[in-house]
Amino acid sequence: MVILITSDNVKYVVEKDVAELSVLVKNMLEDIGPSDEPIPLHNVTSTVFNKVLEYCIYHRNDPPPSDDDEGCASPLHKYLASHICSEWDQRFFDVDQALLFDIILAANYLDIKTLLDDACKAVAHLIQGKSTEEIRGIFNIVNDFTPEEEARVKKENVSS
Amino acid sequence: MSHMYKPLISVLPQDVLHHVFWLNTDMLEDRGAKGSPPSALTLIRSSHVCSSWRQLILSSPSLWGQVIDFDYLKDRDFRNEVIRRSRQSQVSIMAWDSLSTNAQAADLEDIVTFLEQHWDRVQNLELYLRSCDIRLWQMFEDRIWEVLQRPAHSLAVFFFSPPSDVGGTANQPLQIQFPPALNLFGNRAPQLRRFEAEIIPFSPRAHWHRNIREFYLTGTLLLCDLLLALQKMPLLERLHLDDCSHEANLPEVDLSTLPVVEVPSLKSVEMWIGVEIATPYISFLKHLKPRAFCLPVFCIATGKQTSSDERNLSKLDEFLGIFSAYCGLDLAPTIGVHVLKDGNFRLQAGGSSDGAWFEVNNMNPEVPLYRHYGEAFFPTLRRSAFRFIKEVSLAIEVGDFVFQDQHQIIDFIQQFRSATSLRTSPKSAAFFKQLPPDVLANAFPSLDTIKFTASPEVDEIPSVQAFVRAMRDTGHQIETVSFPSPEYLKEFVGLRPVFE
Repeated sequence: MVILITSDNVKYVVEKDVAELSVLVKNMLEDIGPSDEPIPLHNVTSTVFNKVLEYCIYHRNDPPPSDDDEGCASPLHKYLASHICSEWDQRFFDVDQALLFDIILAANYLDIKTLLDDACKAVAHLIQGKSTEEIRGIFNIVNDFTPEEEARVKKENVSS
Repeated sequence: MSHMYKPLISVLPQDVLHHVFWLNTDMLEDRGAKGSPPSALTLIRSSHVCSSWRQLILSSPSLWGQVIDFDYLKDRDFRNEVIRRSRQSQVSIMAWDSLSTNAQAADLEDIVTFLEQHWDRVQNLELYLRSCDIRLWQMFEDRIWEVLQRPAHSLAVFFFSPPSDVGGTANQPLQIQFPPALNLFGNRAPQLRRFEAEIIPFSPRAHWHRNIREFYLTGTLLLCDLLLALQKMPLLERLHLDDCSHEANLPEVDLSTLPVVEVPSLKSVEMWIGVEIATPYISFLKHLKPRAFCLPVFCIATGKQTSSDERNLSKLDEFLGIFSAYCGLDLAPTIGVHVLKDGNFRLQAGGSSDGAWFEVNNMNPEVPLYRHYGEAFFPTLRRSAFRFIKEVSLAIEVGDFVFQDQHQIIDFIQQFRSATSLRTSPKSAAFFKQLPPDVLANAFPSLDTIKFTASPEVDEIPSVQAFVRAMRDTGHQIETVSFPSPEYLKEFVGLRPVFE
């Protein structure tokens, strides 16, 4: 078992194989060697870590991501990966944007590649098929283009 | 104060946001999912959202390199702007609709010129020329073959469909000419993982086979060469063969001198052929040893030019034996058997989305025995292990047709001693209800649930009711009957009807 402490001082006792889905935790465990010392997770609150833990427990037996999963993976690999998202994953990521982005930040910090990928996919799906205005609406983004930039953007709209 | 407002998404670091955009640059997914917006459009729209997103996307050549979509980017100036934005990054090229029957010389000129100038950085190439006029093709074929014979250092996905006989006549079909001694990729494509091509010749000893994960071939296939090539593909995971040849133009095949080829990573073998050319494929499959419990998908069409029904039947039975060995039918957790009125037969082992399939599609109802094909498979399907299966899917939609030897089916049905759930169709109820009571009593003795995969037509309701009643009358403790629609639930008073 591994003891993890979140930034709001909540202690978690987690099975080692689950904890080691985080490369950050895995590396720390290797560095400190056999020890009961708790590992602090400075950038993750317990609210977010509950979700991270739920994901890691559900996916603990998944095959590890291969080298092909690196950022330069082929479109084919992206296609396959994008279709492996299960119903469970879809429900898992059906959360408000604030929590979704916090999960992404936590996955990035903890270095959990599959969680980061799946959460980014959830954001990517929010963008897909939407008009520029709709994307702005979904994410509450303000159009801050200068008139010159706006003119260039409009020209691209006509061309494409 | 509005300038102080920051959207929630702004907490994401630039590299993460870049990853989100990158996930949306998937042209292969566009092809797979009809109706989804082009990746190029999604990227362009994303770059129009705000200045920070635009700055990030414009400074990311790899994103633009993934969306060189000749079908969508029809405006030449803007397409060139997208290509310019990709700088020296790897590129994905897609050209399907732009090379259709209406394609102009200028369209092909643009694509060929692009390939000539940027071949070294092409990572994903999808060229669909199948319906391109062959005369137009002939204007460019030398240049295309020249490019395709250059070393392809970045190429990971290759999809190439040369023109068929568009422009020819039935008597004088125009056929494309391959260069003599065609040497694809100059024998060097170290990143190539997926190869999908129609009728294009390839060397069985080419070095670019080494990293192939997926190999899709269409057309008349040289099975000796293919078997030799498979020896060089230790990482192959999916093999898909689609051969629409007829017996008359099938080259002679002698695989007897070749060794058995073991491909331990091969987990999916898909094959679409006509029964007339089955013999060499049976021999081919016997020479191929994929991973244990792999997922075969064998779809065999019968009856196009059938001369001997019995001979075909024995070939199909051999395929079924190979299928059973490949997927480990003995240990399948679920099984589905469908014998359909039109003579088609389908066997499924495992889950519906990732299962193994064996399918015989009858193309000619004039063939005398076609309705007995399914029946003939039942003896081959008898497996002691089936007695442990909990859920079985069985559809026998034969209408008024009477089997020659009903005992084969009865013996098959009576194997499922543990099955508690039967999935079937309303049309099959007519078959089940006519079975003698002693047969029904021994069929599915543990059954408590019958799931109908469709709602019955009005004229099928009596058969469905009679079947369920007959099962209860023969001692089955049927508790649940389910339909995909709730409207018929009232017909089954006394049971626990379920709307699924």
